[in-house]
Amino acid sequence: MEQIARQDTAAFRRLFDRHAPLLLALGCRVLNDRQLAEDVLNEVFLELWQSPQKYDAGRSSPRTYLVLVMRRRSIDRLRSRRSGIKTVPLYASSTDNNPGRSNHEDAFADAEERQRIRSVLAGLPEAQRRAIELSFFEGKTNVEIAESTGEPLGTIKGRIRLGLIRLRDQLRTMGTKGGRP
Amino acid sequence: MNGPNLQELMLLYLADALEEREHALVKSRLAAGDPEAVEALREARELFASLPVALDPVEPGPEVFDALMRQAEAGQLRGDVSAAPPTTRRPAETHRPAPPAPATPATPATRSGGWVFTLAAAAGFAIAASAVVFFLARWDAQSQLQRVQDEAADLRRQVQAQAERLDAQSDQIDAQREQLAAQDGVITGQAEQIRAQGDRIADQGAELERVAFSVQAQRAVTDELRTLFANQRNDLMVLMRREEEVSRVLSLLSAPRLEAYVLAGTDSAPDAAGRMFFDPQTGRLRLTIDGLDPAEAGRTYQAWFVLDDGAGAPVSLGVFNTNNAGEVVFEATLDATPDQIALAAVSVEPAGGVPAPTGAIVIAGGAQ
Repeated sequence: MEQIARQDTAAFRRLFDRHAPLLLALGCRVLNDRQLAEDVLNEVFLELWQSPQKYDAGRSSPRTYLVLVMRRRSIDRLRSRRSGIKTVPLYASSTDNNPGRSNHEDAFADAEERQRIRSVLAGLPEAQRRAIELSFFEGKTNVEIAESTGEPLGTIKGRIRLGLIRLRDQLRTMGTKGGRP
Repeated sequence: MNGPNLQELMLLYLADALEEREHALVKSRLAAGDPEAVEALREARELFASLPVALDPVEPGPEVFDALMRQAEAGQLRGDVSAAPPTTRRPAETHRPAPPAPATPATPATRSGGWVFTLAAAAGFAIAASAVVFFLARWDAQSQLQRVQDEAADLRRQVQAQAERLDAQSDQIDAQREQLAAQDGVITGQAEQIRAQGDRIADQGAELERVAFSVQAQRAVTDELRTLFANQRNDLMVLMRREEEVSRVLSLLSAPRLEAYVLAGTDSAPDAAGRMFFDPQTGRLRLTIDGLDPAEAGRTYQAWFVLDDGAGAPVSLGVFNTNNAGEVVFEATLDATPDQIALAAVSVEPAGGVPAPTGAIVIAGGAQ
């Protein structure tokens, strides 16, 4: 990130190659529209290039920072569209899945981590997983989730609490930290 | 904190799944810069951001990064980027011009001169009319195209202006949200301080109650000690009196010329027995009696002695009474110090005593 702050194009390219597929997958999942997702991806990286000081290494890893910004922007864009959104399952297969990465070790590690997280998510009760998906990927507030599912707010909060805590505990047990730089 | 630990709280904070009280507590700790809370939030962010890893990655096409770099090099601002036409768009398919229409086969010309002229005139007129129509239509189409282009440009400007206003409003809303969050943090911190003060006051109240209880307990202990001390003082007084008595007895018994007398009950008090010690040098005597019932009401016992010459009248030693056990210790000091007392006796007399014995003798005896 320090190199990017010095406007090092090569470092910027490496960071883009490293994280753009994850961010674009997130954008596609939230927006269900690849073109919009690419626009948001463009905004996120452009902002990082123009205002690298916004990233604080003490607060999070680069990946976490980028994911959280991408998620927020995608949800903002989703809300601004004000249209019915078709949702897809959390880990639907993508037709654009292209493992041809320049760094094969990273690709392998990513795949391994992906498998672990999928495994943990698959182990969650359906209701907990669905509540987490609606909250994280569709940016719905707990009140909105309660209204859309017709269930009490306390039940929704409880599901998200239990789901996240269980997710964390199981990832710890499996030796996966929350994030990697 | 009860319930979930700090990292769990931060995780739920990111997911907006905290109860109001927990949310206020988290905001307060973050606003205070609590390093433990900040670290817990960082860890929670990492976990939270790992969720999309479960998704299949989607590789962006090469044009995405190229467009990004073009914008970066152009130094476009964020607002411009969002408002600008998407630069990552794939090239749209261009409409190719329609192929020329197939030529109409020529109609065989007639060789007739009038027909030829007429046909030529008609053709010339038709060509001229077509040319006029063509130029009129072209002129109209160009005018319409220009209007449409103008309207489109106007709409683009409006959209651009609207996008800029929305961006400005969004920034204002973000700023207001941050201010509200900061105020919320301050208010939460103050509420926490007030709660802490309340807790401290409650603690002090509880401490005062404990002190009051302790004082009460100490007072009870003090009262007990005071009673114990009074009892011990009484015991001590008794002991001191006994010690004095013992000293007197020892002093009397140590007298070098001590005389001892044995007294026996008479028919009036057959169970009575007594003993008297007398120091002729000091005139002190001690008479002990038991087995002698207390004197009736209005009556008293009076002790007497008679000197050894037997000539004198009985001399009164004083009056006394026995206790309920029929015992008495009677001490006296004679003004005179006779060498020998011939007889000691006790008679029953009216209360207050008499100068000379008048009642019955109940016990009497002489020197051993």
